[in-house]
Amino acid sequence: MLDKKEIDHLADLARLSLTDAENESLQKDLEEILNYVNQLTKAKIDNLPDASVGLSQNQVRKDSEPLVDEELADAIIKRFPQKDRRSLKIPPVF
Amino acid sequence: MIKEIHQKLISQEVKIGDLVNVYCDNIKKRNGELNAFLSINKGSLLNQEIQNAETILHNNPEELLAGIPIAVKDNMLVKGLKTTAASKILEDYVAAEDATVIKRLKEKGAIILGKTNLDEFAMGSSTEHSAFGPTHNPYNLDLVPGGSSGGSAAAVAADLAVAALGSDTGGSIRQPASFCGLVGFKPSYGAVSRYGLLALSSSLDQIGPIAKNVSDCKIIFEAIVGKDNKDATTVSLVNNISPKDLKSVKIGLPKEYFVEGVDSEIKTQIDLLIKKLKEAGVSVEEVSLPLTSLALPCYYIIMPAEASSNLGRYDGLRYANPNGFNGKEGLLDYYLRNKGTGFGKEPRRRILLGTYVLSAGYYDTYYKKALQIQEAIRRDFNKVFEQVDYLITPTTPTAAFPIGAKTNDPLSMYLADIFTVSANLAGVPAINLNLGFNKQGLPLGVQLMAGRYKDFSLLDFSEQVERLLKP
Repeated sequence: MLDKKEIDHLADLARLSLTDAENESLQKDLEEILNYVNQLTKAKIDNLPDASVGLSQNQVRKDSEPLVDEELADAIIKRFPQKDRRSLKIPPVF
Repeated sequence: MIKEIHQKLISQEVKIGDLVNVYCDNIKKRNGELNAFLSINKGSLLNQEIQNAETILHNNPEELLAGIPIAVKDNMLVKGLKTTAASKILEDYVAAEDATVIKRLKEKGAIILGKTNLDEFAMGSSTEHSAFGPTHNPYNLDLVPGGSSGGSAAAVAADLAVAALGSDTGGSIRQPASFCGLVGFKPSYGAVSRYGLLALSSSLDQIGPIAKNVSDCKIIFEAIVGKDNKDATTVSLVNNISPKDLKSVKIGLPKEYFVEGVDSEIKTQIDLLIKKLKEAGVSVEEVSLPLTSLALPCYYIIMPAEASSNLGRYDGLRYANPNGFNGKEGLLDYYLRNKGTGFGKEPRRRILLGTYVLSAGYYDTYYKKALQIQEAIRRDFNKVFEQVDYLITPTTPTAAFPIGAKTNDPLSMYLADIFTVSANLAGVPAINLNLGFNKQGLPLGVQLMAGRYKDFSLLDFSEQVERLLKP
């Protein structure tokens, strides 16, 4: 069902690098799993409800009550693996 | 157990520091063979917690959790301790703050002993998918402890902690509790804050206790339950009910859970429990949850879809940088290299699966259909809970299986969750109790479920069932 090209495409979208051996075993695994979950796509159920919007109700909070305090922000920045002052350093985008 | 220890602490028969030392010694003696803990709390951090607990106990002698040593699954943040989610990609990450559940436990004076092993990012049912080696079942070291909260379950079963926190997305608290002869409670969706839990599937994840008895689970649940501004799904839930007389309780046995493939010893022991319940005056009827066979396929669409999005944040840039920059590559190559080597086999499998079911052309076929089935499953549960108060089912089809038995066959591993995923999809509370032991001396589990937000009622009933289960 899924060939090498498709697995490579998915891996590319997910930003994962795969070896050829991994690609091969994933073709087999994903095919088996998709065959299993296809029970669901094939199921004929009368009066299927609309897709759920989750189990929760909307909740709002005032903008004046920030969730992150300064001390925590500092602690998080301190943990950046590579940084330039308070900025996170990353490899060049292009 | 917590209440007995608490008595000894307030009578000063035992000091908190000595109690903690007993558990630290147990860890030293047994963690080598069990691999239940990935990291241990020690030094000034631990001493500070002990002092804090002493003050809390002194000021409030009724605080049951003050001084109680607890283990925490390594996918929850504990300030100053490593939080790895059992993944290479977070191998060196030290948490900057406490998860809300940890904050609440510490406010009550509980002592965090350390962080326990799990399947990488909680993806698995055996704790074999940990980047730091599998955990072994204390009942038989050749067997798995279940998963993904296998380290937490093994730690409690082997007396390396009084109780533990786990997380449950499709059965990850209840199934290991069942394999290790413990009580494991997955609260209603929305009962406990997940702030500081490394998310697997945000619409299904829930944190809960694993302990030796229902009373201990209840004490921990009462400490962590309730609304939190940092998790918008949480509601306030208060214990304002008194336990029901068993004579007025109605139990449902969903026929779809008592099918072929369930171990005959589990069936026999559940029959025995039903008999005892009937003798105690409980009314028992067969009920139907017609979509049960679709719950696991539905779960294996929703969970990977959400997981593939949630794991996007582990980019090797913000939290930890296991491989470092090499100065030559651009951002894309950096991502490919880090995510390719940082994530283990199972996360990669699920990331790709999630990417697939969410991609253009497949979204309606898979993800939308799964959400529709999920809603239908919820309605079925609501309907059943109009008929009966609680459901009783097996927790797992079998007792613990050997290490290595399912690692090469992902689908057979997934099937270990067949009876537990529905509670997550429906958002209802569910608990595993130790049903007894099989002929090989391995623990077997029984699962009890209740309607959404009936958590306290389920715990009260579970205590009554626990008494009936005692030999």
